[in-house]
Amino acid sequence: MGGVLGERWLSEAVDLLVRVVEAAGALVIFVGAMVALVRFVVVGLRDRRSRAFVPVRLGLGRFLALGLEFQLASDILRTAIAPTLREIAELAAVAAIRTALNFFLAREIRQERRELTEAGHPRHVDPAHPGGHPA
Amino acid sequence: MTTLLGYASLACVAAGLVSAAVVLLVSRSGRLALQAALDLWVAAGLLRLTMPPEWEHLLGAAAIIAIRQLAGAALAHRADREAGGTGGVVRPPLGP
Repeated sequence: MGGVLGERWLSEAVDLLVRVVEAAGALVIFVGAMVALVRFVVVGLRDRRSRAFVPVRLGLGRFLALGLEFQLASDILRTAIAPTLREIAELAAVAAIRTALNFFLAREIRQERRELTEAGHPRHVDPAHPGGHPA
Repeated sequence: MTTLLGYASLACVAAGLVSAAVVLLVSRSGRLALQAALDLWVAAGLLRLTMPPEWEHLLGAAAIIAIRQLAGAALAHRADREAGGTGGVVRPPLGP
């Protein structure tokens, strides 16, 4: 009896952790999208140059990559409480999509940073390290 | 939470349309406008994936990501060709 209650408690605790981590990922993605929207409009009105949009897309890509990291973490946590084959299959599909997108985003971010450096733009400042520390 | 995520996803779709319009007006480049829109629509797809998984949402997210990659590769290839094979990067002249 004690063992069954312990399992149920653990399952509920993991479920709560999954929701918290997923919510964090969703929040990061949404905030990144809204910041990108504002930056697109501001840059479009102020700068009026095509190249000025590249850092905006780069910033959005970084937000999406961070949000994906949270969502991948929640996928891994969720495997602890996926009792049916159908749920495991859904998890595998979601994790595959998120992993593939993470891979493509990381590659694009590296490529666009390289293009910005070659074009003579200042290195993109990581908001988490404003002192210029490389990310 | 599912309702909130639905609204957030819709907001990202709308943001994609607005961003694409702004980029198109400023740069006159359909390529850049499409890239801006696709980036924000990917965010919308990722938010939909956070909701209880349904195969429609999974396929939709996979489709938008695949379209983004294909469109990006095709448009980058065309831009590369138009730029004379330099990858669109204008290198500053060397020397004094």
